[in-house]
Amino acid sequence: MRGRRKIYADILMNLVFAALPVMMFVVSRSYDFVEGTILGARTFPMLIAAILLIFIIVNIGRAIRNRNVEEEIESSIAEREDEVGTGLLGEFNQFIRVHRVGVALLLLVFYMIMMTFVGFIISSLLFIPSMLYLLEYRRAWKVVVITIAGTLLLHVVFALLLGVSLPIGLVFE
Amino acid sequence: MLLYLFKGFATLFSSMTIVSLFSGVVVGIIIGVLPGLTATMGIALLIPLTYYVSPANGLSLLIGIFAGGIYGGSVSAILLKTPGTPAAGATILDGYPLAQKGYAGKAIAIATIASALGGLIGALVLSFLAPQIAKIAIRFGPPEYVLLGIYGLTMISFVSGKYLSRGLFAGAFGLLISTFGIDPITSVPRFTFGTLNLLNGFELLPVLIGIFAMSQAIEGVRDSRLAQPEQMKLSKIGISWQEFKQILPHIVKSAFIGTFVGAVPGTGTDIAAFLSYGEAKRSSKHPELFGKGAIEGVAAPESGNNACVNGAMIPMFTLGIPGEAATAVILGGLMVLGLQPGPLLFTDKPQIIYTVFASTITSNLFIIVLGIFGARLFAKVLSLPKTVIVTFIFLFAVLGAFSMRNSMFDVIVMSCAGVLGYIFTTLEYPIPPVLLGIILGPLVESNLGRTLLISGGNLTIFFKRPISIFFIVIIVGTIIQNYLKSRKGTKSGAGAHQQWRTR
Repeated sequence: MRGRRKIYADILMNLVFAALPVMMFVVSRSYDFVEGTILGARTFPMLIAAILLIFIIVNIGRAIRNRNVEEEIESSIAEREDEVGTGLLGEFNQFIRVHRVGVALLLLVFYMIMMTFVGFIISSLLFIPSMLYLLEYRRAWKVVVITIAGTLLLHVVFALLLGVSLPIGLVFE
Repeated sequence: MLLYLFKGFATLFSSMTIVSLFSGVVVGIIIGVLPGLTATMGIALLIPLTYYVSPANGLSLLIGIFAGGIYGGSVSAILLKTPGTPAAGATILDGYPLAQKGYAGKAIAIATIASALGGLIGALVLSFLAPQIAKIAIRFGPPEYVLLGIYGLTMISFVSGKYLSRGLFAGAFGLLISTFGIDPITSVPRFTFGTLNLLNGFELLPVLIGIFAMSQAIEGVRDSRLAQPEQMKLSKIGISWQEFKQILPHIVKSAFIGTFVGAVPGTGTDIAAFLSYGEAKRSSKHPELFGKGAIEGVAAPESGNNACVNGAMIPMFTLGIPGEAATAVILGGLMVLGLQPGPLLFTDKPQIIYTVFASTITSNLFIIVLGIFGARLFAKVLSLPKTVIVTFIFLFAVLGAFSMRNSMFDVIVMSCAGVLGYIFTTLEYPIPPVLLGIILGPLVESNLGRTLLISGGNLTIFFKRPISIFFIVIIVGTIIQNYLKSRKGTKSGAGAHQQWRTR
C-alpha cells in the first residue's frame, strides 16, 4: 500500500474504532456501582474505554503529523505478470485480480450464507473451485479432483472422526 | 518431581498422546517449511481438533506443531533463502551460502541436529525449572494476580516496536473486547445486546482462529501473485563426526541463550536466533567465515530458536503469561481445553503437565528422525501450490470456528476477527497485544474486584505484601527500561515487534 493511502487508512481505522469506546461509555452508564464502592459492571469497561480513546487520539495525531513524512513503500518482490485473456472474460479476470482480497471476502460471506441454506457439502463444492479460480489455479481436472477430494476429506475429518454436526442446510432439513 | 516426569513419560508412551505429538511435529514441519505460514497460525488452526481429545493429547499436538514449525522454517531458509518462519531469519545468513556451495544436505543436517539438541536442552530446563517457579507462584493472592496481569500487559511495550501507541491501542482494544459478557463481580450481563451468544463474551477459539489463521489466509490471497524464489537442490544429508564436535559447543551455548530469551516475556524465537548467531560469531575462531557458509552459523540460531520454544513455555505454564506469540495462542488453547494456566496446574493436574513436559522432550527426538530421514519429502512441500493451501486454510478456519459450539455466530466472529487481523497487519499494528488483552483482561478485572472488596477499596494493599512490592518494582523497571530503549531506538524492540507482528 502506498504511504499516503496507508496514513489515511490508519486515520480512518482509528475513527471507526472510536465508535467502540463511545458505545461502551453510553451503554455502561446503565450499569450500577456496588453500593458504597467504585466497583461495578461499568468500572472496568469505562476505564479501558477511556484509555482506548486516548490512544486513538494519539494514533490519529501521529498519523496527521507524519502525513508528509512517509514515503511510498513498494514491495521488494515483484508480482507475476501473466495474461488475463481477452474480451469480457479478460476484463472479468483483470477485475478479480486487482480486487482479489475483496472478492475473497465476498466469497467467504457467500460460503457462510450458502452453508446455512444448502449445507456444508454443496457450499464447499462451490467455494473451493471459486476460490481456486480467483487465485488463478485453473487446471480444470486438478480443480475437480481437489474440490471433490478436499470436501470429502474435510467431511470425514470433522463429521465422521470428530463427530461435528456440519450444517446440512435449511433446504434439506 | 522426577517421579511425576517418569509418570509423564509412561502416559506419553502408553497412550495416543505419542501419536498426537508425532502428528503435531509432522504438521508443524510442513507448516514451518512453507514460507508465509507460521507455527502460530498452525496452532490456532488446529486448536479445534484438540477439543475432541484429552487435554494431554491436545497439548502435545500443539507443542509438536510449535517445535516442528520453528524447525521447519530452516528448510526453506536453506533451500529458498526465504525463512519459513521469522525464527529462521538468522539461519539464512550461513544456511543459504552453504546450500549455494552444494552442501544443502549438510546445512539441513546441521539445522536438524542443532534444533533437536537445542530443543532438548530447553525442554529439560523447562521441566526442572517450571515446577520451582510454580511453587512460588502458588502463594499469590488477588493483589498479586492483578499485578501479574499488569506485568503481562507491560509486554505490549516490548512488542510495539516503532509505535508504542499502536501496541497499547491494540492491547486496550483486546481488554475492551474481554469485557463483553457477564461481569465477574456483579454478574450483570454487559454489552450482550439481548443475544445469548454474547452472554459469556466472545468465545476465545473463533477469535484466535480469526486473528491468527484467517488473517493469514487473507494475506495469502493478497500475496498469491508474488513470484516464487528458485529452490536449491538437496545434496546428501549428513555431517561428519569432526563437524559435529565443531558445532556442539555452539549448540549448547545457544540452547541456554535461547531458553533464557524465551523465558523473558515479550521476546521471541527470532531474537533468540539472532542473539545466538551473534554470540557464535563473536566467540568463533574464524568469525570471517560467518555469512559465507559457516556451519556454526547454521547450528547456533537453530539451537537458539528451538530452545526458545521451551523457554517461552516457562512463564506460560507457571504464571499464565505467554512468552511470545505462539505461546499466547497455546495459552488460549489451554483455556479452550478447560485448563487454567498458572501454578495450580502443577498441583491440580500434575499428570497432564508432566506428560506435556515429556512431550516437549520427546518432540526433539521426532525432529531429528523426521529431519534427517524426511528432509527430501519436506523439501517437496515447497512445490505445493500456495493457492490450494490458502483455499483450505479458509475452509479449516470456518469449520474450526463452527465445530466448537456448532454455531454460525462463531464463524461470523472468526471472520470479523480475521478481517480485523488483516487490517491490523496491513497498517502495521501488532496483533498479539489484542490477544494479550483478551486473555489478561478477565484476570486483572476479577482479581482487582476481589482485591478491592478484601481491602474495602483501599489501594495501599498492593504495597503491604512482599510479592506485590516485587511485582511493582519489576513493572516499573520494565516500563522505564522499555521507555529508554524506545528512545534509543535499539533493534531489539523492533525485532520483537516484527516477530509478533508477522506471527
